[in-house]
Amino acid sequence: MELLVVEDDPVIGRSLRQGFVEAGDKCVWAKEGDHGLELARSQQFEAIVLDVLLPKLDGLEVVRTLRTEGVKTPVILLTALGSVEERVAGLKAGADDYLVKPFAFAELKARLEAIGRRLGPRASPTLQVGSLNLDLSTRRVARGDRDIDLTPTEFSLLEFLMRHDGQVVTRKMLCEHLWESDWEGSTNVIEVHVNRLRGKLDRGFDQSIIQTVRGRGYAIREA
Amino acid sequence: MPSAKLKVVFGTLRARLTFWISIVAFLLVAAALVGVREQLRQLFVDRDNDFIQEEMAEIEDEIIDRGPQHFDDIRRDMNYKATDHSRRKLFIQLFSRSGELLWSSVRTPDEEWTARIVGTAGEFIVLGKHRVLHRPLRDASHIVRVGISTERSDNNLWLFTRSMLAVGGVALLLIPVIGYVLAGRATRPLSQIIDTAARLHPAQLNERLPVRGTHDELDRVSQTINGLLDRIARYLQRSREFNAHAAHELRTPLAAIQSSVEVTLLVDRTVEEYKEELLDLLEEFDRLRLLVNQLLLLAEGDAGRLGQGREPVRLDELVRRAIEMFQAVAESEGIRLAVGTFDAVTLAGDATALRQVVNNLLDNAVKFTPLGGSITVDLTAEAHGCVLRVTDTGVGIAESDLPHVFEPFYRSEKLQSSERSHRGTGLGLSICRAIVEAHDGSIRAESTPGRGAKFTIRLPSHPAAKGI
Repeated sequence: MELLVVEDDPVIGRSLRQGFVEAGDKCVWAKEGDHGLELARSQQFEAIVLDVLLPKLDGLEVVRTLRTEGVKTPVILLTALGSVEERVAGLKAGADDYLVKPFAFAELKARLEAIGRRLGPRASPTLQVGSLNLDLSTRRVARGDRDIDLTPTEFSLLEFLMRHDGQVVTRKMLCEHLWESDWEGSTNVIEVHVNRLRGKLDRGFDQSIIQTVRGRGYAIREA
Repeated sequence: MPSAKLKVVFGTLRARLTFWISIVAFLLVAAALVGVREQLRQLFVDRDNDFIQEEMAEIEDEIIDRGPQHFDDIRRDMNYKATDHSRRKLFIQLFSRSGELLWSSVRTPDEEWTARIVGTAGEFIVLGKHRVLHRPLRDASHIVRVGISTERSDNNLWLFTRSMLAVGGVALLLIPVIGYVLAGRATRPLSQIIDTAARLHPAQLNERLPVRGTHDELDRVSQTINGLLDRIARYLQRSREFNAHAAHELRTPLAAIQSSVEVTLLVDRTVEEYKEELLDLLEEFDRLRLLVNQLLLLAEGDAGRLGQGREPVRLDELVRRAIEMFQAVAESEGIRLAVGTFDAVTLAGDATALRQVVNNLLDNAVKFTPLGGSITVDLTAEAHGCVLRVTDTGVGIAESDLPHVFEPFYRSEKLQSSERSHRGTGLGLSICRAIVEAHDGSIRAESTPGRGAKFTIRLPSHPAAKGI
């Protein structure tokens, strides 16, 4: 992906650029709002990661200007302000998504890809990771030639992991997707669900298809 | 700017009171003086009229008693009479029945109107500076006119008017001064309230406004403000404790991060060791992030901005989803998680915030219920709202802890040591309370220690809309 990052904090900006470049994306980093706006006008990017509180020109103003000028590049806003009104203001200004600091890099990456997919061609009705197949229309799941019976929750969980094939999915992302709640408590609610799913998927196989990525979340890949 | 300064001076309550007191007092004095003067003038007129009437009667008697043959004597007597009453400048005139002037006494003024009869018989009129009366005698032989000068009465009245103006002038000068002093006395308690209030500082809210015990409006103002100060002081106290506690809670993960980073950097290590350290850090950051997010949530609750969304929420659906979310973890811990009474309930509220409440309660219940225990969730519809109950058969809450469980960072002494693996932020239940109260509801905890705990939430169907 070709990305534009507009972020005035040097540490966040540098780590985002490094993260994207090492993941194989192209990334331009602007530290000021007006500079970011110029770049977004003059070059073609696939997505823009835009901080809200910026010197010279704030992020909301940048999105608003881009949208009135007809620039439709997808925009994800980054902000330390997490209230509902802030979120609404961001989306009203024309942003496509909204991420509250601090956030997991994996989540930003996943959201950027989701935005890309939303604009791109429709995904096929079947998802496949290694020997694992998931059919969205018949809701049938099979690993190799063995059918696997899943509860609706487990099915949604697996679908979400498979849509983010090869990427890290955080517990927060799973919780938001499955239960519309960014709740984080002390009990290991998500772990238990993932472990049950893992138990069903891995029966008869030596290797687990869902990996726990320590400190970050889960990733689905055939080892 | 002088005009602004004037505005400040005249803008005070004291100045305005003085102004109005002065206006009213002065008008009263002026009205009293004008009234007295009018009475006096009437008195003078009556006295003059009586005098003229008396003289007229005497003259009539004399002319008729003596008869026309003694006219010379009559004239002489009348001239005496006129001379006798020189101070009043009395004069007498005789006219024939047809109105022809026959005779005038001494002191008859030299005016044009003295040559003829003016006005109606029997009615007093004022001609020039004279008050006169004419009428025919009882035998109708002649017409007599008697007049006196009004100068004496006019002078007396003028004397009074002059002293009246003097009194008025003094009043005009004195009234504002007296008014200013009186207004000052009336507003002094107010000034005391202002002075005390000006001294108050959020850091030192122990001073209170003076209550004089007069039970008047100013006392009520003081009492009302004192009540407000009490509440502010309590609120600030809680807020200070909360801030201190929050800083303390943030210190622990920060200390862990600092020491582990420093120790890692003390000697050269393998890549695997560095990686391990970074992963540890990531977990510490998760704890920090959770704590900061919850602190922000409580701050929003404090600012009255929590759970502001008002949309129809199917509470039964919401609770069912939450139970489904916790079902797996409950089963893995050997706990039965089930519903009891379960009515369909729709209420106006903020779904995301209400989800937090249910999740926190279930999280707590799972945490404190041992293997083989059970958690029951009841949702009962009521006339104007609903009751949500989460009952567990866990360790319960000690009686001494019950009043404090909804306070931020409150943790039971017993749990702190034995439940370290379940260490939460200590904010879950206070967040529950903040959200429930933002929905105009109430939350209550009951427990039989060792037998379990029961949390009861009451929510109205239509909480008052919160202004944004």
